[in-house]
Amino acid sequence: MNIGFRQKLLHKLLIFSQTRSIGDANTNVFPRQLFLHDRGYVPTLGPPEITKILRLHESSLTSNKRGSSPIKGYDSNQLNANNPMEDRRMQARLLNTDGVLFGVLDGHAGPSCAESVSQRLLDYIALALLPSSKLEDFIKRPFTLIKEHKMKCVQDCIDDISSSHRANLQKFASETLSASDWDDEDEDPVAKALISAYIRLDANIGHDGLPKDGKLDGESLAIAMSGSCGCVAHISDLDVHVANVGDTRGVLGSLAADGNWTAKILTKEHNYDNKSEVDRILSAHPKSEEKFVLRDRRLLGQLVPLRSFGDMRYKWQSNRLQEVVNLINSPAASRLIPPYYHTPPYLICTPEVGNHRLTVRDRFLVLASDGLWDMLSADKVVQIVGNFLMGKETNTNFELPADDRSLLKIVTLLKDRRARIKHRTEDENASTHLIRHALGYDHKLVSEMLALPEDVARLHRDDITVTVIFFDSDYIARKAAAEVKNA
Amino acid sequence: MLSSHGKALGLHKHLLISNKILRHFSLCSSLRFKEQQVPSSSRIVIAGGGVVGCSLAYHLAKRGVSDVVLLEQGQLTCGTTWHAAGLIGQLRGTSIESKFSKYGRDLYTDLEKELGISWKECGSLYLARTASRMTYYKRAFVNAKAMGIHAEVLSPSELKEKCSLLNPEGLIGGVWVPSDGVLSPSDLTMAYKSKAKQLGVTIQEQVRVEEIQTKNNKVSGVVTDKGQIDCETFVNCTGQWARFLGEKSSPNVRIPLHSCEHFYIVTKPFDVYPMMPVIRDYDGSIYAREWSGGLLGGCFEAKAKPCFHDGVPEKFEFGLLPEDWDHFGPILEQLLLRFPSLQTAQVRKMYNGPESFTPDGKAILGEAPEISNYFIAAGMNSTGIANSAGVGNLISDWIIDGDVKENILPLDCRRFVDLHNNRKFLRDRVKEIPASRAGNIFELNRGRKLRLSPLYCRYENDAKLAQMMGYERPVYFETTANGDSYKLASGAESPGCSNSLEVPREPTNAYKKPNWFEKVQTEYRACREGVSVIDMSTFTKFELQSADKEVVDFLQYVCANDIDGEIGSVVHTGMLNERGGFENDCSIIRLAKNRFFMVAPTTQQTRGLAWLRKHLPTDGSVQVSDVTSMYAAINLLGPKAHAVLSELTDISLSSTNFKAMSCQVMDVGQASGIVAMRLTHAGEDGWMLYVPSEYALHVYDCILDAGKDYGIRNAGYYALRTLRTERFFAYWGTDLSPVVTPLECGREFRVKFDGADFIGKQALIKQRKEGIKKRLVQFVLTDHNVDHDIWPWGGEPIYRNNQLVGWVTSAAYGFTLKKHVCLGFVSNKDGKSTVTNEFVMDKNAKYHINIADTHFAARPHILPQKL
Repeated sequence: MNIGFRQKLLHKLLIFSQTRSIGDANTNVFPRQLFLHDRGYVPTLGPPEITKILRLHESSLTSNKRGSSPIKGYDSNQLNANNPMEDRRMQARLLNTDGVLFGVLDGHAGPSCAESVSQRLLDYIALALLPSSKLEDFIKRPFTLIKEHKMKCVQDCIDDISSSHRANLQKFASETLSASDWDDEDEDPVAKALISAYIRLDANIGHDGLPKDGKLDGESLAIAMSGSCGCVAHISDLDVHVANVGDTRGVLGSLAADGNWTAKILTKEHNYDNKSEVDRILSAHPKSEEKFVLRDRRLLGQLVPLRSFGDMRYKWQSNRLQEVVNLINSPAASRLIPPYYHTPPYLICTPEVGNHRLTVRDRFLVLASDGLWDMLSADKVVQIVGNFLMGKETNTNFELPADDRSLLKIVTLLKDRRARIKHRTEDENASTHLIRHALGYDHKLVSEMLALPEDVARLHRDDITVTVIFFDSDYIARKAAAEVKNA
Repeated sequence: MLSSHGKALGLHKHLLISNKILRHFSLCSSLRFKEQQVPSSSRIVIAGGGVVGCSLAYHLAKRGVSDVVLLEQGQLTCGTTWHAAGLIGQLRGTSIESKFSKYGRDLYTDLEKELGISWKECGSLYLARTASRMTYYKRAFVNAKAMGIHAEVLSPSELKEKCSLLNPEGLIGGVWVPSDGVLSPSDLTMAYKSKAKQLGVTIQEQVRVEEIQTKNNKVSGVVTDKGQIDCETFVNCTGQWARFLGEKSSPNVRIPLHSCEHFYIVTKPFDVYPMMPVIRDYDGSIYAREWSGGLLGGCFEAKAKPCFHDGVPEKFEFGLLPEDWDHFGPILEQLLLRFPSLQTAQVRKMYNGPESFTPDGKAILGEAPEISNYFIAAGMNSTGIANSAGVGNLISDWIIDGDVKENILPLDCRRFVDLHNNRKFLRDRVKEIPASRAGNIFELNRGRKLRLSPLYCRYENDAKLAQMMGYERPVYFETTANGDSYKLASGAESPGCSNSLEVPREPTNAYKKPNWFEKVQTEYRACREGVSVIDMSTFTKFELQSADKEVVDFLQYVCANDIDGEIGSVVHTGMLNERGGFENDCSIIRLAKNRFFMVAPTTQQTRGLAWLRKHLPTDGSVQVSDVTSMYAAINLLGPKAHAVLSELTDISLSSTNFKAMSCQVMDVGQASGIVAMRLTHAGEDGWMLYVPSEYALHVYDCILDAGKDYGIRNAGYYALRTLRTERFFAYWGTDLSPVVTPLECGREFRVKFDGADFIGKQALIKQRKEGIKKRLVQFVLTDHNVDHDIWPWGGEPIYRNNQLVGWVTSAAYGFTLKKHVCLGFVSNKDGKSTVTNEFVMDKNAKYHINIADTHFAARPHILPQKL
């Protein structure tokens, strides 16, 4: 491991453990005006400049086979505060089982872990979903598991999947197959697959990071020592599952009978605000550690999310961690071992999985990193996307009804449209629209947020990643009706 | 020799154009364009084959001028004529428009008999939902009746009897004009065309005007894509293309108009009967007529949609814009409310045809100030069909006779400055114009505060502003007795009629005593009994000079009064046309032997300069410059003005040292170079101070500071108007116009009958000998209740022994006379007999003024009263 890389890694990890502030509601009150006052002047970005910045990483897909799937399409976007960006997002179609996967990852202490997870997690999930027969095939001769829809990345993605990834998958396949005999009939197979994929990938990350023959691999260590929260949605026909570790979230938006938009949170956040999570951690460690395990709302006084990928500093046994520290061979490295590190592991990567059966009222699912959720509540997000959809419906010109062209009919339709028209926006992408709202929406606020210099920007906003998946209510209605009939 | 030179030049230009076109259409044969396909010369060339151009061609030919070529770039009517709704209504906002409509209606019935133009005399109903609207109609109604148009006021149930489809809910009444009707715009255009052709006019389609050529700022020819035409006169009748064509000459011609989308729908046939009257329900922003057994319903929406900001698309022949149902939705609701049976009617089509609109909603007519013999008839604001006859008649007279017999100042193309032609301004302003045409917007709020006095920042919070030539001026001040100012709503301008801004329009007090009454009274008293300042910076200011005495000779020639006084003299004078009518009413100040300062009304900035330039010696010996923007004008007036100004200057202001009607360049406060004149345009003692703009704030602050202990305060134009109306001072634009001579308004004393020759002198000598046929008279309303009765605002008919003798031109409440004062003209026997003082003042003559259908007794005065 070269010295430059080592220093960079250490710097990242240590700075992170000391100043990690986003996600901590209290730190959002950092007096932005104070900064402005010190600077005297911050350039204001014009509306087209802002739109250009916001649209830089837009990605979206509209299904060209309308009516054959519950998904109409999706809008996705990212805005970075960190440089490099620490968020990642994924989208893929499963090639061997029904369904599609969407993922949003929120890395910390550098992008390494999130980047690695983004390249590997969907394969693990796809594999875990395979029926036994297919698993056998895979062990004999590995095949492609997913078809990814590549989105514009903020950073250049490292595109080569290492040979160790393939080997890991083979091994995972064998073990999954052998464990399949133990399947509990009552267990939700999708949830089970998601959980096992998360845990397995995290175990492999930890394993890869350990020294081999007394030598550290810098790349693998960086992945293991940095961390990532992440949620993945699996949508197969009307069934939606969302697995999550940390503070990324999946929220379902539905249009209630009364015309109001309602939000259903499909994931739990793993942070200090989640009481059961706090209880889980406290009960896992001796009472003597009670004061130290969670300090300042953080795990061991350092880490905000209470579950995550990577972050092996909170997972490895002390002796292993010490071995790594010794090999790094830098005075600062000792600080990698958290204080009061007595009974590891303190951190797990077991996701909680929420599921939902789609109804005609369900219109979209929002997956996003906490960069969004810190700024906007789930209800607000659903409201914004709901209005966005209503406004977007009016972007096409009014067409006279084919059957009844009476003026009364036309007036009625136009009145209804007028209520929607007021929600028209300049944004074409729902995620972009959400990011604009997250930054304050008002031109002056958004400009201030975007014009902040990099080092200051990360104190005011986090990387934001949003993917909004739109459901086809016509398809859902048809499907649901057919099911009722069959029953 | 000259003509061959002209032809050579033409050919040269022609080749250039051919090349240009070839570059665009490489497939076209160049031969096609080299061939001369248009006459090589013609006395008059008209561009635009819409209803206006064709009407003009017909009217010229009717007067015997048939050496006319009309060019249309596509086919006749293909621009905006073809999709017009074809309504002919005679109840109009201004008298000139009513005259156009009446003339048109009479002509259309004749053309119907002769050629058939689908004229249908189904009558019109003008619906009112509020008392304010009813008064609005009644004012137009008395005018229409005075012109011989039959009209009746109807109750809601009577309205329903006239039109069974109508739902009278929410209406308080309406006006029925049985002689109104509808026609087919295309048929009308074709009728004009065939009459014109019969009389020898050449009409050519598929010819595009590329350039208007000039020589010495005078039209010399027209370049088209089919050849060049030498001509004396060019007329731009190209509607929504007019502004762009205005740029195809050197100098450019300013034609401020902008296209807007304009909508109506047509339903499939249902129970609409052919003779259903035209319905105008302006309060609902809608109109409707029968159309092929269905209903045609259109609108004057509150916020119109401008279009074609960057030009009309090529080949926009018989073109329509995409439907916009969202925009039309609220209008549709109003249509359904008024015609409940429409609910089940099926829509056939929505028409979205562009129409051109102007900054004040009035047509743009007359000879361009930039180029002699370049005439304009454009900007019809969606009334082109109704106005086509009147406009054609007027412009043909103008071309043939050199001037017009009507006061058309409100429509004069010289009423604009450059800002009006700014495309961004136009795009913003025209959004309000359709609604203002329907009387739904009285104060235009778009395109305001563009041109502001240097003093604006001192009174921005408490002055109510009105716009004149795009220049904002305070009309009154919202100030409490102790000097604190109220917070004001934003200022606003009147569309069209110069005195309609101040008219109250609230449903309860429409046209009655306005809420500014007490404020203006306070300002009036300050002017008469104390001291006040009026910001008159909007006034037009010119400087004229020459090396030798050429400028004196020139001014003597264009001014009716003798301006050859001593240095420092101020002379009020008219500038007259050949018929003796006023072309300008101004003050000429002699600053030096051969240098003059000229002050003219605000609205004369373009018109006044054009008039001077037209008559300047061709050798360039006299220089005229427009210095309007260089000076602020502060009117310091009232009995204490002398005391206030004394504190600010070292010279003596005694009436011997600084005589009335004299001028001195002096210091005020610590500023220098102020052109001060002892006159106030209000009959009070005081000074007009023309202050170089950079000193304006200093001088204004000094005056207010020095005046503080004398109770000085700001006053606005309403106070000034009251002062001058009470004193019987005629004003330009309302009382004075090109059809009024000095003899007709008691200004004989300002005419140098015995001095040097001047334009109009012969006409005045003749008139003095023969006697005048109309006379400006001041009337005092004797039985009018200022608190409860509807006020006169100008435009009301005057009756003498129950015979119509004229119209009120300006009106104001006289705070000293404690009565309403109206100025207006009195004629005798339809203007055919002379009007003597005896006739006017005849003890047995009983005068009445009809204000919105109520007669008020009026006492005449031919001399100013002692106040």
